[in-house]
This record gives sequence, C-alpha cells and structure tokens, in this order.
Amino acid sequence: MKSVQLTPITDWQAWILTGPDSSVAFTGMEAPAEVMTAVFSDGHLIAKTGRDEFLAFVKESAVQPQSTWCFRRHDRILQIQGSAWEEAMLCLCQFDFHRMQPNEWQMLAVAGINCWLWKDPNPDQGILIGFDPGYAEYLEHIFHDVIHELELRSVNLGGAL
Amino acid sequence: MNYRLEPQPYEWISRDNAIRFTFEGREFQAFEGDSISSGLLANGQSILGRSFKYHRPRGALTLANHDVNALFQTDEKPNVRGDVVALEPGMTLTACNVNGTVIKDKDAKIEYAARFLPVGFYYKTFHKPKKLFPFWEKIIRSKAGLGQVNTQWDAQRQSKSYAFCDLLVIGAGLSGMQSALAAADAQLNVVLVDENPFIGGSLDYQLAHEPRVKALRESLKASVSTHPNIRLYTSTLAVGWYTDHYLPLLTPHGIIKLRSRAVVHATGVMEQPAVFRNNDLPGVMMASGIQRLISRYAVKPGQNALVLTSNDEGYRAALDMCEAGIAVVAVVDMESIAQRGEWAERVLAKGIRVLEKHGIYEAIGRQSVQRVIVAPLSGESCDLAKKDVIDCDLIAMSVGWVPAAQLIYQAGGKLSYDETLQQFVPESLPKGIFVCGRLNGAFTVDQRISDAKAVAQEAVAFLKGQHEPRDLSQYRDTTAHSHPWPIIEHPKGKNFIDFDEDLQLKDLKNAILEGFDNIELLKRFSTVGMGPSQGKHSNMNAIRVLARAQGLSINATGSTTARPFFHPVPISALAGRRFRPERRSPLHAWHEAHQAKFMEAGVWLRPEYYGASSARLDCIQEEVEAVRSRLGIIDVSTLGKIEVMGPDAARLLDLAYTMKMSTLKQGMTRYALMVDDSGVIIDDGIVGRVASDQFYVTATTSHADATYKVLSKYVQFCRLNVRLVNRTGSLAAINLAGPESRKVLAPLTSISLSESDFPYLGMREGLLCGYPVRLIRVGFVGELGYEIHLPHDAALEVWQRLMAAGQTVGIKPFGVEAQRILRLEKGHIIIGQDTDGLTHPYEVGMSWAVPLNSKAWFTGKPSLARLKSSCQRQLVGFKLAQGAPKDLVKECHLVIDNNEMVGRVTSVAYSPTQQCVIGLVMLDQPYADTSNPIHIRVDDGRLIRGERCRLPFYDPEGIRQTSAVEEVLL
Amino acid sequence: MKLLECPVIGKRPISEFDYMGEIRIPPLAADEKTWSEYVFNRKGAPCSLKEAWYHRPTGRWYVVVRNTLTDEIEAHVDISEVQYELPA
Repeated sequence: MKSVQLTPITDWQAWILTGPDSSVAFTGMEAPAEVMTAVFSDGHLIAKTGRDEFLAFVKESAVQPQSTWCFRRHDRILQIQGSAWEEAMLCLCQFDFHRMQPNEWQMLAVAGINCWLWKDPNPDQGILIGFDPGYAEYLEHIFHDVIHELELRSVNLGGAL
Repeated sequence: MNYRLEPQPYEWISRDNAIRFTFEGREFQAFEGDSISSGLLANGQSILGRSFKYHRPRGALTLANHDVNALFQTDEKPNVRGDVVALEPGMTLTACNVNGTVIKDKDAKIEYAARFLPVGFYYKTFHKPKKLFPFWEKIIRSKAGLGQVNTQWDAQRQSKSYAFCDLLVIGAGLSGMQSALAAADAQLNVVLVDENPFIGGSLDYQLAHEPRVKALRESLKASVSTHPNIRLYTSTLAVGWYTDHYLPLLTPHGIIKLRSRAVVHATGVMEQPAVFRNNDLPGVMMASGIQRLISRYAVKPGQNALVLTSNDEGYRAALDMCEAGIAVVAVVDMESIAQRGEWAERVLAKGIRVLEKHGIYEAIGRQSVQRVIVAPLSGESCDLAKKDVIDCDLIAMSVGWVPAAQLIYQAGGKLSYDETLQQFVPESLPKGIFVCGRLNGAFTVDQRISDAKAVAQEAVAFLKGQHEPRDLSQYRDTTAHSHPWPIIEHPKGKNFIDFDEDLQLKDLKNAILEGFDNIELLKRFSTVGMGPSQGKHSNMNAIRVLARAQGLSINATGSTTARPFFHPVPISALAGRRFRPERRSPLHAWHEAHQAKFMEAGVWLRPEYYGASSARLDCIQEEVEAVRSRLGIIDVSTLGKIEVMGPDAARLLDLAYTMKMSTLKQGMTRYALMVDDSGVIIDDGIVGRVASDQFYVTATTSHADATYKVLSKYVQFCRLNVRLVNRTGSLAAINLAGPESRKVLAPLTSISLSESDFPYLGMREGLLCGYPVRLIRVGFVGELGYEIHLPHDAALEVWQRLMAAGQTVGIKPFGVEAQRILRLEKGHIIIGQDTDGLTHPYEVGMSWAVPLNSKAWFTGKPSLARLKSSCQRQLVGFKLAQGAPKDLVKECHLVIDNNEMVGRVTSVAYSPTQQCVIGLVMLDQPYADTSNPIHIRVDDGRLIRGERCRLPFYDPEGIRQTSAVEEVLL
Repeated sequence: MKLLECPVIGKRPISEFDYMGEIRIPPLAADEKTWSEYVFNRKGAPCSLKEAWYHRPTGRWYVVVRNTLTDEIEAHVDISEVQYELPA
C-alpha cells in the first residue's frame, strides 16, 4: 500500500538575510559556506541562497538572527513523507528526486510555483517544501489530489517499481 | 461456430473470465484479454469494417495496429482500434464508416464508381464553384469518414508525471529484454516499455513453438520483471521523441514524461503486405498477424491457408498454422526454395505443396477469400499460361518488413536501404540514440542476442563518456527477409498499397505521371501514408513504386518524415492535471466570510465587491460612497513589495524609473513610472526612502515579479552594489481611506499622524496594534488615506481591529470595482487597462513624470525624447449626460467619427460623486486635438454622445488627500 | 534544448527559466537611427548568441553562448564579462 503524509511545519521563524553582515548574523548557529547548500543543526535550518544571502528557519525559542538587512518571511512549509513521497513529487515537479542527497537544498518549480526543497538526512522524514504562503491552498489542494490518485493506482511490474 | 483454439502456451486471454459485448446490436461472448478484433473473429465475424473510400469489406490484417481495417465506435469514443484495444464487459460497438452493417453496407456500391474516382478527384472536382464546396464536403465527409465524436463528452483529465532514468529501452521483445538486462546488470537505471500488455514480443508469436528459445524466454522475462534496476511499463507507448531524450510514455493511467540520458530502440519490424488484386479481402492477412491471432488470442483465422512468402518467416508461419490445425494448402515462394533454411525443409517434410518462383495474381471471393490464382513469376508479372487456381479461405503474406524507426527519425537519425536485407536499417544515429535487433537487421535469435548485448555495452560506455560508435552492421543478417518488389500488376486493379486510404497501385502510378514524383509530393497528393496508420503498412511499397517509376534507387528516392505522435494520444492524457496557480491574500478567509465576490487579478484572487451578486452595482456604489464620505478599507496585499538596499540603491532606481529617486528625502515617497527601451509604460508604483541606502518599492499586482526581475537585471548587468528582497508574499497591505481614516487609525498606532509629522506622500515606520508596520500616505483613491504594510501573520488581527475601531464612523470594506471607480474619478490610470503595449507617458498626460532635462539617463529616455513631439494618441476624459443608462457604454467600445474609428473606451463607470457616467477614451491624436464631442458605438449599434472633460473629475486640486481633513470638511 | 545546465543549480528544464534575449548594451549617445535599430531590431540569423537566462525559482541570472541553429549551449560566460556602465 502506497502512503504519503503531508504535515505543515509551523514551529520555525523564517528569515531572509542579505548584505555583507548576513553571514555573521547567526549567533551560536551553524551556517552553510557554499551557495545553494543548507545546514540543519540544533533544529534550525539555514540555507545559503546567494553570495551573501541566507534563508534561515529558526526555532521560536532560540535567539533569532540579526543583521542590517534581515526580514521576516512567512513561508508555508510542508513535510512530505511516506513510501511514495517521491512518486507524489514526480507528479508535480520535473526533478530527479531519486538522486537527491540527504541535506540537499534545491529551489525549483513545483506545480508552477517557485519552491525550496530540503531533503531530511533521515530517509523516513522525506522532504520539506517551502513556498509563498499565498499559494498554500492551491498547492495543498493539488497534493491531496495527487496522494488520493496514487493510493488508487495499481502497482506496475518490474523489480524497481 | 467457435473459432477458439485449444489453449496456446503464451496466450493473453483469461479463459476463466468470459465477457459479453455487443456489436451492431448482436451479443457476443469472448474472454478477458481479447482485443475487440480477436473477440469478433473468435465468433466467426470475419468482416470487421468497411474501407474508407470504396466501402470494401475488410478483416483482420496485422492485429498489431499497423493497419486500421478494424475501427470501431463506442458510445463515448470514435475510431477505437479494434486490433489493440482490449474488450471490456458490456462494450457496445459499431463499425466506423458503415451505412448499415459491415456485412450489408449500403455504400458498398461506391466501389462501382471507383474508376471515376481517381486520386485527386476531390481536389480537382469540388473546389469550383467555391460556394458549393460546403455542400460537397458534407456528403464526402459522411461517406468517407471516420468515427463520430460524441459532443456530449465528459471532460476528463489524466494526470501526468515525470520520470528519470539512465537508459530507456523501447520494446520488450527478445532484443529489448536482453539489452535492458545487460544495461541493468551494468548498474544503469533502466526503464523498459512495451506497447503490449505482456512482454516477450515476437518470441511469443513467431517462435512460440520453438523449443530452443523456451529457456531463454523464461529467463529473460523473469529477470527483467524482477531486476532491481529495471522499471518495466507494459501497455505503454513511447509516443514521441523530443530534445534531450524527453519522451512521453503513454500509459493507461496517463502520460509519464520521461527524461532519459540515452535511448535504446528495440522496436522491431512491421510486416508489409504483398500487392496483388484483392489483397484486401477478409482472409488475406500478414503471416505475423495470423501468428499473433493464434498465439495471443487462440483464435483460428481460417481452415485452409495458402502462404505467399519470400523469406524463412513464411515457412515458420506455415508450420505454426499446421500446429493450430489449419490445413496449409500451399506455400507460394516468390523466390527459389534453395535459399531457404531448415524451416522450408520441415514444411516439405510435412508434404505441403511448395510452389517456388510463383506469385499470387489475384485473390477471388465476394466477402472473403475463396480461391487464389497463382502463377509462375516471369520478370515482374505472372505467366498466366501456367496459372493455377487454388481453393483456400486464408492467405498469409510474408514478403517483407520495415523497421519501426519513427522515433529514430524524430530524433534526427538517418536510415539507409540495405540491398542485402532489402530493408531500411539505421545508418547514423544522434548522440545517445542506440538501436538493436530486427530494427537493425539482426534477425536470428543469436544475432539478436549479440546485437542486444553489444548495444547495452555501447550505451554504458556512452553514459560513462567513453563512447566509440560501434559498427551497426556487425550482427546483421546476410540474407534478405524482404522482397524487393512484392507487387503484381493486374489490369483490373484493386491491388491495394494503402489500406487506410484505399489506394491502389495505379493511383500511385497516375500521381507520379501527373508530376508528383517526389516522395513528399506523392504522399500529399495521393494521401499515401496519411491515414490513421500513418504509412506503417504502406510507405515502403509506395517508395518501391516511386523508385521503380523514376528509375532511382530506394536510397535516392528517400522516405517521408515521421512526426510525433507515433500513436494517437487522447486529449485527456495530453491535458494532464491542471496547474493553474491561484494566490490568496492572508485576509482571504475574512473576505469569504463577509460575502466577498472574488475576481482574478493575475494569479491572485481579490474581492471585486462585498454583498449579494443580485445587487452588484448597488454594493459597489455604496462602497464608493463610504470611502468618499466616511471610511473604507481595502486589502491591497497583492501589491508587489520590494526592498532595495545598498550603496547603489538610489542609482538603481534612477536607472529603472523615469523620475529621479536619488533626491527623495528619507521618510517620503514618490510616484514611480517604469517604461521599457521603446518608452512604453510597463509598470507603476511608489518608491519610498527608508534610509539613505534603503528604499521600499511597490509594483502593480500583476507585474510584481517582472519588476523584481527588471531591477535584479540592472543589479547584475550594471555592476551595482544593491541587494533586493522580494517581500510581496511575506507582507500584507491594507489601504484605509476616507475622511475618517486618521481619526480611526491614530489610537491604534505609535506613529504620530498629524499633518506636520506625517504629510501627504510621507512614509513612517512604527507599531500598529503592536505589530511593526510601515504606513504610507497615498492618494490613489483621492481621499485622506494610509497604506499599511504589515507582516503576513498580523494582517487578520489588524484588519479586524481596524474594522472594530471604524464601526462608529461606518467603515466599509471595499473591493477592486469600487477602487476602480474611485481612481477613475481622480483620473488615475491603471497600467494595462488604460494603457496597452504601445502606450507611452505622453499619451496619458504624464509628461510631468518624464524629466528629460534633469536626468542624464533612465531606461527609455532616448525613445521618450523622440516621442514627446510625435504623440499619435491621447487619453481624454469624457462624461455622459445625467440620466444616461449606467451600463450602456463598456470598456473597449469604439469612438466613431464620420464612420471611422478614432478611439476606444479604456475605462468607464457610473460615478456617484459626479452623478453621471464618466470614463477615459484613448483618441487618435488628430481627433483629440479637436474639441468635437465623443460618439461611442455601443453594443446595439447606436452612437452615444459624450462630452469631453478635464481630468480629474473629482477634487481637481487634490485638497482632500493632501490637507488636514478638518479643513476639507469646513 | 529542453534542459539548460548551469553552474550552481545544475541541469534544469527550460520551463523554469525566462529567456531574456541577447545581451545588448544600450548605445548611449546614439543618433536616432542607431537608437531605433537598438530598440526595434534583433539578430534573427543563426549564429552564436550571447544570451541572458533568468532562473525564476532561485532568481539567478545566467549568461550563455548559444548556437541558435543547433540550439546547443557553447559556453557559459561570467556576468562580470558582460557588465556595462550607465550614466548616473
């Protein structure tokens, strides 16, 4: 039986930081060095999205990052997990999730919406997908449709399926 | 009579599951797994359809979708291909293109007029006089048509998905399975597809009784079905090839868009018909078609068979038919039996009569084959002096093959004619395209296995970047499996080349004589290969006919181009899931709960107005009235919101916007107009200065992403030290507008709202209901107003607090429609509504926003400098007489002068403050320069007179938005 | 070309990109003819074209040299090589 679960993640404060002092904004947190990579530690997820630009998702209880140009974001974040999460994503996104490495950070179009994706190092945890909150109803509706269809679909032959 | 055979070793039918269906009103029984054609043939229904043009009876030919003799109609679907569509319980079928029944088709008499209907007849006869063509077209379409589309169709969508692999192998026959397995063993991630519901390909119908391949078959099938590196898709067609190995796979569930790194084509070959008189009679079949019918469906196609052959496969088919209890009355070999192998010996050993160097001159029968005239071949014709008449009810044609190379052609591969094999074979292939098996001329089991292993090795090397193209001919057979001229002339014709289009040998010859002597011209004039089977059984013979008529080689004659799709794809599969992004503001739920009627604004949904749709106009008028006299509140979260920071921030905005932003004082805002290189207006908004090196920019709802992109392009390409943050979705925005706005807002915010502390066009940061906000004094709707920019998660609470605080003054939420009227009264334009793709600032009275002298450069400046003195249009205000109907004039109605168009209405609405209909028209400059009234042609054709007005219509001095509200009210 | 391989983001479907045309520097002190040439005309003949592509999900700009006949990317160009100055 195929299964996919969709869980909203709401216990983070999201930030975008930019400018020369952005990299020193994270007190006591590990920040990534390479562009388009992410570090997950102590429950915080920090991604480097430009030369001196970061997206940071910080636990509510922690000290929030501070820099000259540091703005709150309100990304809608969903966790997609279960045996068929890759299959569900492949209905919406032209990306080879099979090759996605643990901790890999990606920014791509999902169902026509610009999203960021992060693959949890624990394979049971699937991936996180974050996007503009204005698209929450649209994307969640589509995800529910896709999951419903996958659960109905018969399994193909072949050792790899 | 039942034509069902004893169980066959690899049959597809499930004998435990009988299904009932009806054809032409009669009920039949078949088994699950039967195709429509096999189900009918099992019941002795040998006529499956009628031909396209002459309504000749047609039966099964290939059983493989290489012909469309058997086209059916169900209640929902036209043109159902009976050979390859599985029967479903309760199916109700009729044949396409039949007037009556397939046995008694009233249009069959058309055949007697055949000699008056040569190729090109319709083109030549019916195009003059032109006005009669629709009449003829209707008749022709009903007589020579395909199925009927059910116009009461159900909208269906099958979802699409993406897939990725290292190697796609198309075709799960012997070669495909072997190459997929070898590649998977080399750790490639393989997808293997086959159009059939079961894998095995020709192994299971051409070699079903060959003991030497039994173990091989079992091991290959088991291995590919369980290999951890193989994904196997049956009943799946690779219907096209697109750049970068992007192939749509049509599955029963919809399309998989597969992105592969390389493709192995193991698609095999398609059997070709011999061309002789009445070669289309029911009972004349491809030998492989007979083998499919027997092996897959256990259906006996006849009692007494004659085989016409020019290869080993014909002898093998004769043996298979014997096995199935069919009497083989003769094997007619077009060549010498001496060149045949062991199969021929086994046929001779059975005492079957073999006629070598003979051909079929003619098949005879009314509704199906009854006997055959065979005669020795003498050159290219038959020596009738030595003819023989043989009784039979089944003719098996085994005279040649063509490669199923459609997708290779699409990928840009080249094929050439191999004189040894008398077959087209791949010659040069694009990067990442590989071939093996019979498609590549490897015919014996050993050749196919070697070829498949070699191609897998080649693909593996290619994917490692070590590719050396292999010698494609290494494992090709050395004897021909196709006859170079399987065509026999007959003075009475009816020797068909294209069964779809009813094209006879003479039709092609005449077309060539008329000058259509190039393969592409011949195709288009005669329509050969243009029917539903797209030349799968007809192109090769057409090429042979043209080559011979022109005295050219097959290679010099060439082939037609194959285009996607290889097989018809239902629109429901092409449509896929609907991805139509819909964006909602954080206040959406509140709007919904308060009777908002939503409209689309770009990707956003916005309240158009609040209230009952039956009272739409009244609701809008009340909302306008509330803003003008008391207080209105509107959700403007859809505005683009961009933070611009850095030492070059001011410089960036000076470049991107017409007006000078570097002189803007901190805490102030300025109208921002963006034009492109040609001076055309593309966006507007406001720019506010937060700090010396930080600005806050707004953009219109639908242009927010584009504006961000334009700004980021300057940052990147003009080496500007600027950071941009697009905050559109993270911030909400609310406009509180109306004379009471200051009074209601003041108690809730830490920001001083006094006129001196916070003047018109000012921008302040502070707290509102405890949340960090920016307030901007804007004047879009022409009243004292504050645009509140606040965090996404604060929007609902702040909105509700404002609503509560405004209760005493009669606050009213207003929608986009009311806002449009309010700004129209102020003469403010909306980009994209009052402007089009050619409108520049001088045409809309915005010369004040184009500082040609004070700025050295901004995008579009040279164009605007030129356009300043050569305006071709002008936006002008107008109003209708009081009492004129409120909705008579609409946007896009034309302005008429002396029966000429001189402009169009861009905005129009009933203004409650002016008590009349007001609007904007874009007038041609010469007419704009006059003072003539404006005549607008409305829907019913009448001309409605409007008077010109100066803009704005309301509060021309702008006192209401700029001064302290107390003064205004005095 | 259906996939565009780019530094940092890897191979991506071109549906994720906006094609922004040839990299062209506005002729600053141009006469009217040169300016209108710049505004209204584009190279149409097959050639190696230096183009800008915008990747929407990341907001990153890429400059590539594309053979417009074969539709193949011939080179990636660092943006610093195509930057230009505009008057203040």
